[in-house]
Amino acid sequence: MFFRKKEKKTSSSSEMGRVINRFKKNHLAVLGLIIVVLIIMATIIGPFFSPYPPGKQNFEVLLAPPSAEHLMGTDSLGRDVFSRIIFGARYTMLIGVGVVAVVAFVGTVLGLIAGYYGGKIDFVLMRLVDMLLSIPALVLALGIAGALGGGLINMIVAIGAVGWTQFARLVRGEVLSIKNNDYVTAARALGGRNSRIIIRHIIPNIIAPMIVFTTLYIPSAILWAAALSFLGLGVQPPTPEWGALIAEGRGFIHFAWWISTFPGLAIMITVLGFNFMGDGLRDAFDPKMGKEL
Amino acid sequence: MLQYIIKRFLMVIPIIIGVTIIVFALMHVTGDPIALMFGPGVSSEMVAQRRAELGLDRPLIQQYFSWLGNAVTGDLGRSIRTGDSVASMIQDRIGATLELTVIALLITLLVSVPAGIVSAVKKYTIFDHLSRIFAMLWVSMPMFWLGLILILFFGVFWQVLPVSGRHGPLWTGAGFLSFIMPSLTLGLPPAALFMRLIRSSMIDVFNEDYIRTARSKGLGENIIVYKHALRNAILPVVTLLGMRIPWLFGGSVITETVFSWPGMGRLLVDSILKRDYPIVQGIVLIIAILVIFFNLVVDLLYGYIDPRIRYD
Repeated sequence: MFFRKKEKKTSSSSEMGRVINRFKKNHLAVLGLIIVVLIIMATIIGPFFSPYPPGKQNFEVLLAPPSAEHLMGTDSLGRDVFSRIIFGARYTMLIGVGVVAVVAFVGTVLGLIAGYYGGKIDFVLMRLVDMLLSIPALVLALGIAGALGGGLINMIVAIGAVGWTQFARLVRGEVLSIKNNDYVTAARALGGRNSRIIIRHIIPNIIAPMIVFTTLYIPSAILWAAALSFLGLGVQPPTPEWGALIAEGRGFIHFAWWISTFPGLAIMITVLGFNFMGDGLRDAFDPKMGKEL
Repeated sequence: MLQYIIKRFLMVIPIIIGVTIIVFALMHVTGDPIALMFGPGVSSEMVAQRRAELGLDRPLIQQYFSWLGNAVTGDLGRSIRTGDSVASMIQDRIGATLELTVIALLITLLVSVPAGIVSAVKKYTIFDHLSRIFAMLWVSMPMFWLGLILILFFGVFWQVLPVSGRHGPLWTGAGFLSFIMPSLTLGLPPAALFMRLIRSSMIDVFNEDYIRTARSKGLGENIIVYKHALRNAILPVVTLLGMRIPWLFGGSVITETVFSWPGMGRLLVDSILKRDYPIVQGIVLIIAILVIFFNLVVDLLYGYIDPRIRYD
């Protein structure tokens, strides 16, 4: 009710303006946006502010607890944990964005094809999705990452290869719900080619759920990547990726709690930021949109 | 009912065959396990000889069908490193994994159902807000990190629980203590999702006509909440349960690694790292079968909870 009244005042503004207005009223969403912006800043200008180079070893301060000189302590080689976390942000962001790019591209193309053309190709694609979903995603990603061999790019491919299924299902569902609308039928009656109908009429109408899903998928991608690195099948040490940092600290947990604790907090805050922002976007685009994406 | 179960099983067969093809392709298309096993500096004759022994020089299709034929009879091949039977290796470990996943699932439900109900009944109170904030924090946490934090507090700072391993069956004192942290690590993160779903689905049900009818005829609030509302609100939860089962087995891989739990998951990670592909194929196949089986159980559970659902 409250929103409606406000909206009437700004009824002249565009649809996008309304979305932004709704987003701005959601405090958690704005908090999420701030967190995400801070993390992005850390990836770009963070290295200029980091107190030490991430790989610099200092054997005089091995496993030093947090102090004024080393805010988050040092690890077993005397490297500054805080600096390593700042440098690690770029890997986490790269993985999150990279995975989502792969997932969104593959999922959109296959989902569009399955939903728009239907028939046999839809049946085959959806059975493939069923099969992939009956293997736990993490197990499958582990298998692919193991088969390809570790490393950043292979990890992105492995997680992307597993994650597209949900995206394809979502896009397919959206396409099915709009492909029989009058404007699509009209375009077809006017003799529009399939490719033109898909680009001009279908895609613009599924862009909102896609943006929401993409934002809500980044946290999953980050968590999966951290898990793969932790298990030794993702980014390898000494790269300061956060999951790998936690794995490095695991052996020292009995006498140096800070090595594993802080990178974990960094992951949690980042994921929280994306979750808040994604929830806010979902509510802003369409308050009625399903809560369980 | 029996007909439905049989039909479901028949439908599952193509999926399982598809899964075996995916698993087999994964392990064979990329990389040569034998070369990795011997490392550099080994003569190519030796590698070729070992490949011939293992039948790796045959065409892939032939290899696949002989593997599948053996798998049907319960023979999953032998480890290429130790020569042990994969089936018996899995047999030794599957119990530990199942114990862990089932207890974790119970923890998920024991935490989320009461919390979700209370949140819905007392919506917009402090309890509701706090539990939603906690839920948000839980889902944002890497699971292995939660395990490490539990180890840090209960194992290192307070030293009340063992930090790794399974110290006997659940019903013994030491065994019970060793179960606590792994099952919390696996059970708590999904509890957040379940809690949120139960809350929203209870709130939806509270707006239904039959709840108003129940209230207007003077039924006690407890009967309304537990007998009328909960039973209807629990259906989406069962759906989510089915969707989360693959996740549970994926999570057990991580949990078992963090706590050195003697289950299939840890064996899987070790085998992937060492490219011991017969073990990987065997475990992934078993996990896929377990997922499909549990999903069938969830499907049957629907009919038990909601008598309106008929199987035909």
